[in-house]
Amino acid sequence: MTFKKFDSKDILYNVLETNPEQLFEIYDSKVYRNKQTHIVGKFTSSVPNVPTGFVSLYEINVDRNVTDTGLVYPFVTKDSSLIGTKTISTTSFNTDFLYGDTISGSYPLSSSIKRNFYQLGQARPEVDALRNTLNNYKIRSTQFAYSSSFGNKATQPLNLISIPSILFGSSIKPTSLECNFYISGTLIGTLKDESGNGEMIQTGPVGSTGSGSVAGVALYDEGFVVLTGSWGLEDGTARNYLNDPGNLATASWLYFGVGANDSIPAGTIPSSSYAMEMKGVNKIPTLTMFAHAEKGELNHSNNPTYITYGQPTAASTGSYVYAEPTNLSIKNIASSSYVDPPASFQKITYISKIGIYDEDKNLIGIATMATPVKKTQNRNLTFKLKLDI
Amino acid sequence: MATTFKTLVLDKDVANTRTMLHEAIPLTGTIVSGTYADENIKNYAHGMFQSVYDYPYLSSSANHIFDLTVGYSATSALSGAASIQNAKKINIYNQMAQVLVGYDETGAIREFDQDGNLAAGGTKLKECVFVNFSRLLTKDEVKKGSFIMTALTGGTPSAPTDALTIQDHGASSTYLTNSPAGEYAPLYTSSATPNTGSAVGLLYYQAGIAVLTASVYDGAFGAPAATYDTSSIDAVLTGSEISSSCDGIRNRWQDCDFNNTTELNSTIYFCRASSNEFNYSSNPTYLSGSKIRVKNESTDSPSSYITTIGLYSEDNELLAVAKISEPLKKDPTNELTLRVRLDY
Repeated sequence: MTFKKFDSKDILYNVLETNPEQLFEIYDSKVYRNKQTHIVGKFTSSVPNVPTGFVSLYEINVDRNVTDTGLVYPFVTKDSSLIGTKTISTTSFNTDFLYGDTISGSYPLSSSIKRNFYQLGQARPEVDALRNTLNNYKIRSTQFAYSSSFGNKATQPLNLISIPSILFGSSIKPTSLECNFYISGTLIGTLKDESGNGEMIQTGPVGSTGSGSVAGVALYDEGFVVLTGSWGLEDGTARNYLNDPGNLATASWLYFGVGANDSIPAGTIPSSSYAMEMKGVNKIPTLTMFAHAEKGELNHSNNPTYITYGQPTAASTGSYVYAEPTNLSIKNIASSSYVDPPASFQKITYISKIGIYDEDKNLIGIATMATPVKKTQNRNLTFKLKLDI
Repeated sequence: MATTFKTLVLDKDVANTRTMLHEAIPLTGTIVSGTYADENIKNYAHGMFQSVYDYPYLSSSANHIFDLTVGYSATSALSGAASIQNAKKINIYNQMAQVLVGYDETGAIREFDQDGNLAAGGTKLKECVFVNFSRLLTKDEVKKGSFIMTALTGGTPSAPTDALTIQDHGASSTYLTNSPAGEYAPLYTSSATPNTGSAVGLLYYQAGIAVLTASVYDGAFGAPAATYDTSSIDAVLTGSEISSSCDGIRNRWQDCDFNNTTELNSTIYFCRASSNEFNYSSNPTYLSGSKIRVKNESTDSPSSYITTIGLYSEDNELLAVAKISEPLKKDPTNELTLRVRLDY
């Protein structure tokens, strides 16, 4: 088999962008993702073994418990590679385990959105950690500034929604993020970033208090929504958003997402619900290669079935010679309309696989056809090979 | 950001390592039969094997855990035109045998050998149960010496008894390599002292396939309320379809545990910053009023904080970036070696 070299026109690099949608609905301290319902299994209270609204990383341990089915769990043996599980600290790795000891982890690993609320002056290490990032985006809007005439994010009441990257990929697609606030099923506020610069502007309902105002900013690459809009979205009714019956508050964007894994217990605010939808950005690099089988090429095969059956193929050997037969006849498989006479001889092969080799002629990939492709001497073929990386 | 590059010396600064990661996989009888009214069992129109899932397979949550089938050799006493699905059972045996055992010098398919010693001949496993574990569970290979299976081999289909534990005793140190499918070891019952004549099956580690001799099931055999002859496994193998035999095996599946292995290849780059290197930075924040921020007097030593290591190609293209958990102070009084591990 000879090799053919790809030239610069035969190899294309592209990036395919996908935008998976995510919808989170929060009600009564439960998060629902993409309208997935809670399924009770035979052995667990939740079939994927993670609460509703959570993504299970490996999707293993489906409907399993320790007693009846056992759980799949990972482990590693401590050795000189110094690899342990993420939950084992360096100190614990060094002191609690001897070489040869087993270090175990657990499945499932899960992830979901999380809300952090900070009252006036309350310490907020998570927000402090975003200081440089927020200031970096000041070129998009002054609303991003950590401290400005719009407020000081180090001290003002602030609502931080964290979205793990497993839910969106490389980044959240600008303009796709929308937050809706409902009271007893009635929409009282909608936030959108219509310009795509990260400013979350109240766009609805039409004529509502604060409509057109900026209620916060979204960090699309990092997966955070920082909400500071404190105007009342509902007139006259104070509710228990702070889980403190003595300190009721009026609905505002500071209380968007209450119950989203923020330790507020179920039953605290039964009338409020929230929805947050977005599209992610997933970039899939693809490599496209065009493999050409031109006229007069690849019309010979070394497969044993390429020659006529029954010919002596044994090599002749002697003290000074090793010679394989040189005049073997090729089986004529050209189609004829008649049984006899047969069709005129043509060199025909069937291409079933294409091997990709590196510059050192190491086989690094094989593309297999769904069905073999007939190759005659006067036929040009081009195969398009696509590899998602 | 540094503006100079340091070249890694391949034989001093670059090392390749291999680490084995494992998972413990329990497959209890509660998953395999009885719990989901067989909604987690998929039978096919071709009838040649049965797929077992860990949850009803119409759910997107379900994972395929293994395929189950049975077969016998054409030279088996069970082979005969009167046997149901005779050709399919022979084909299954031949297919598994040619992949796992290979061919002899005449081009004939070898039969499964009890002790794996093909040259010596010996006892052949002619009627076999094949458990083909999913790649999701076995990953790169089954960890040698970790396989334990408990089957109920006696009693009746409605009340199976006589738990028999089957293990790959001693395989962590002794295993066979004369299979085209990789490494394998005999499976022994825990009650018998492992020897060449006591094996009841074979476990292929890289292929993730357990082969059991059908003779381990010595009582009445079959699924509860079966309509075929359940007097013995031989009667079921000849008088019923492959799927019925698989139902019977699942009915007697008490437990199966093994550990899998994932091979993690790593390259470690030792990035060395000697005393007189990387003590300056070209970051904008390194200067304040045209003076180096960290120096109060002109005689003070320069210092910098290392936060990131960039790995570049020969053409100085940035290929990878390693971040350290906290910045490291670098000045002329210290030298640092930063160990960057790249897993793939």
